[in-house]
Amino acid sequence: MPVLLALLALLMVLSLTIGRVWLDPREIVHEVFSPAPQVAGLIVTELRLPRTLLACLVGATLGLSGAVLQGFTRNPLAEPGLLGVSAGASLGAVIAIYFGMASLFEFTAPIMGLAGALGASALTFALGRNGGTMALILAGAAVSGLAGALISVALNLAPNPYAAYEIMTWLLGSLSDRSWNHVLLILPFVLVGCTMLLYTARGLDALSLGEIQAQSLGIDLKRLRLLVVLGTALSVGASTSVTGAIGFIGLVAPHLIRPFVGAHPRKILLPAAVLGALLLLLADIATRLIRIGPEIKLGVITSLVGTPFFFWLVVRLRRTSP
Amino acid sequence: MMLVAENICVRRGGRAILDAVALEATVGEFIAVVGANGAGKSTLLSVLAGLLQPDSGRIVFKDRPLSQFDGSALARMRAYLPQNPRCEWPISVERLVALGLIPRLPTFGGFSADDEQRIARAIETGDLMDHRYQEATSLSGGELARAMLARAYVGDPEALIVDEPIAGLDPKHALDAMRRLKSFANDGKLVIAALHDLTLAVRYTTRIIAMRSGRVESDGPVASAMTTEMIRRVFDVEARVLGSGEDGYVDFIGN
Repeated sequence: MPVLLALLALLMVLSLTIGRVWLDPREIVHEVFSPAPQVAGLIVTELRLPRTLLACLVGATLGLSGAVLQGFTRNPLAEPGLLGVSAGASLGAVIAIYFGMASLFEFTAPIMGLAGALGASALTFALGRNGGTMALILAGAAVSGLAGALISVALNLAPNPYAAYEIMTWLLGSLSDRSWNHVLLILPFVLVGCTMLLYTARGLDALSLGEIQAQSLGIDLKRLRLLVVLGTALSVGASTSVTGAIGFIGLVAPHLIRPFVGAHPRKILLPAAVLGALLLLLADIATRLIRIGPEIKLGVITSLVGTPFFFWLVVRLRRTSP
Repeated sequence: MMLVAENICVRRGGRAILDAVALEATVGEFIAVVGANGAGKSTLLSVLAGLLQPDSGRIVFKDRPLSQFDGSALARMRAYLPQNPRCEWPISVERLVALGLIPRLPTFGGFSADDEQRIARAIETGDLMDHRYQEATSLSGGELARAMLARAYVGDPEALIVDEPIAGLDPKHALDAMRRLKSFANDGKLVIAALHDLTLAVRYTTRIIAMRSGRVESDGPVASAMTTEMIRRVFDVEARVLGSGEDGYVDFIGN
């Protein structure tokens, strides 16, 4: 954990210096604290600092919610989008872009995205409330499918190629050109959502014995389910609505942490959040370093790097299973 | 009376799983619930443990209706083990046993030194010292059953409700488990276990509740309840019951 935090701090500094304009850390310190900042100071405080913080917030959210959902479903394939939250947020934002609302007011897309996330998770919860964890997973898959289908409709019926292109690029996920306003917009949702997710820790531990034993240990499964769904809806929903859907971080981070904490569900949560922030920051720095034609989108990088991890998972499973 | 069940009915899809079951149990008893597959033993145990709300009737635990307990308070007083309990993550045996202390933990904060001692003691009495740091998912069936039993008694509950605790155990560990359950009862606790091994039931338990089609067919002290007549009615097989107590023996002949 201290190693992870130190690495994260290092990457945050790196993230401030790297970009179209390379900055010297000493220059940054000097500029940020000077009364009349020059261009370099403005780049750092208005562009790179919010971008870096946003990467940390979103990455931590993905890592934490992935760890919570894997513990909750006791399924190593669970990821933050499992309950339909990401798909719902994407749909909301896409609707905003499709009807041209996004260009009228900067925050229409994020706000619509958040509404979509909350709507989707409410639908998932209503559908899967009474059937245990499996029903909740199936309901999440159904809601994701529906939102995905509606996004396809929007792409299909896009009034002009430019609108379709805008929707596509938004869906690929990015952190570029995000401002302090974006950070402030999602901060309360992320904080409340993540707090709710952290409250599930003890329940997740008990769930390693299965639902019946967890219940016999005094865990209120209904309350736990509500915390998981609402916490994910708020934190992941807010994150996705600002950055677009970013895959694999939430799937990979808990896996990398698990062996180091003896597979204990509760102990995975915080390190997974830190690692999630670290991985997303790393991916975002990569998008700034790789310059082949147009910007490589964040979601593309995480998928490209994340997929081999899946292969590794399969290979390891083949080796350990009889 | 420690535990009283009044007129418990549970229906599923128009069929009565439990039909007007009533019983009273007190400290020091080791009760074997016996019966054929599907007789309602597991359902009865879940209802007694407060995990399943019956369609009618009520459970009174220590003079208070079960519905008045909150989950943690109840979990501190009674432990429950389902059939074939499983562990879903490769956590160590020590941590698995520690999960039994969850209802005793304060809202914030982890295990105290006292808790760690309880865990160590439970691991020792469960004959699990060699497996202490082993991953629970790599244990054999019998070892896992012992670890789960240790998980159930680590919190020192007043009542222990266990569903087929010796299924899949080798003879030595089956005898060990029965002896341990018996000693809980002797320590002034209430033990209720669903059992299929009638010989071990005769030797170790104090009372037999025989179930058939969701009803209590017979209920009484082990010496008088375990008869060829009861076995014929409940299991539909001919059996011979020899002796009682420590030398008791039940042999099935055929149907």
